[in-house]
Amino acid sequence: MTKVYTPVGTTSSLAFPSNSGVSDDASAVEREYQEMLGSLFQGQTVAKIYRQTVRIFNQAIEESSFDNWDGQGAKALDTLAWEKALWFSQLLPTDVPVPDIYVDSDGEATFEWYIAPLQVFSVTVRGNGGLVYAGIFGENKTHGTEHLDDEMPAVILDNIYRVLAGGAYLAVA
Amino acid sequence: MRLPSALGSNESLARCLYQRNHFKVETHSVLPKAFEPPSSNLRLSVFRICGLHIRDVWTYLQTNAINKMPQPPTFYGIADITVSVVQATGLTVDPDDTPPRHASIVGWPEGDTNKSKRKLLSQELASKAKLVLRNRN
Repeated sequence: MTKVYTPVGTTSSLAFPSNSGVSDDASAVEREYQEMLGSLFQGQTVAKIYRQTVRIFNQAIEESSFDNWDGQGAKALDTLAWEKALWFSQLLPTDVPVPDIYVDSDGEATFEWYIAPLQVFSVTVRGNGGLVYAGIFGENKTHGTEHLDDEMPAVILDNIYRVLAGGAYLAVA
Repeated sequence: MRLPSALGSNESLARCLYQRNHFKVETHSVLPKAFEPPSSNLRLSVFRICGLHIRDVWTYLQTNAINKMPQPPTFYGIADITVSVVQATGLTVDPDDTPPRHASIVGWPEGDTNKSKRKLLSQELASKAKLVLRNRN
């Protein structure tokens, strides 16, 4: 069977380790990296998910910054969670399609790859760096929690490619 | 019509869809977000719609659900799901009848550490629900 989606790496080439250095050199390196990232994100093809996350975040600041913004008891936007979500979006490989991104009832950021009712995977990014995930892949199901660090946890990437591969399989069936 | 307090397993429950990311037109399906319980009380609001013509479902829910919200949103349609499907996931339905015909899907795993289980349950419910859009009827 031909593999439709092949992961290009464990994380995005745009990802940069958390800078714990305090020297002038360390600050200069981080500044240069941020400038480089800024110019890269002006491109049309690079970091589509990051740009979409920024767009949804800005929209959510206007619409979801207070408790019960949905009329059903949702918590106000968790700004810290969304800042982590920006980092999460930068860690995704560039061959991953843009997911649906939304504010969940805890005010946290959810990224959802929805192909079909039984082919779905979603990750919620929390303010403490937790990545809460769940997915359905036909007859198989998964759920759990990982922690966001300098690299994308392998289980998250594996499940994203798993749901995408299932979708491509459905498309040709 | 007053409904019996006991639920029938084949009874239809309607979950109001009032956000654009509650459903997907392209695949004509309900999205998991539509079945995300409010974290404040983990009671997911639904309405028992048995015995109602679809025309009356829209009128009833517009009046008793959508218009009761602080800022009434657009009412796109409903996710139609049966009691037995809810029960098969391990969740239960509390027919609280306040307002009349109202019920709540309850029994969600509580606590921060169980959020992934709740996400999976929302996905399972959405996968079994039937999308009924308002402007198509």
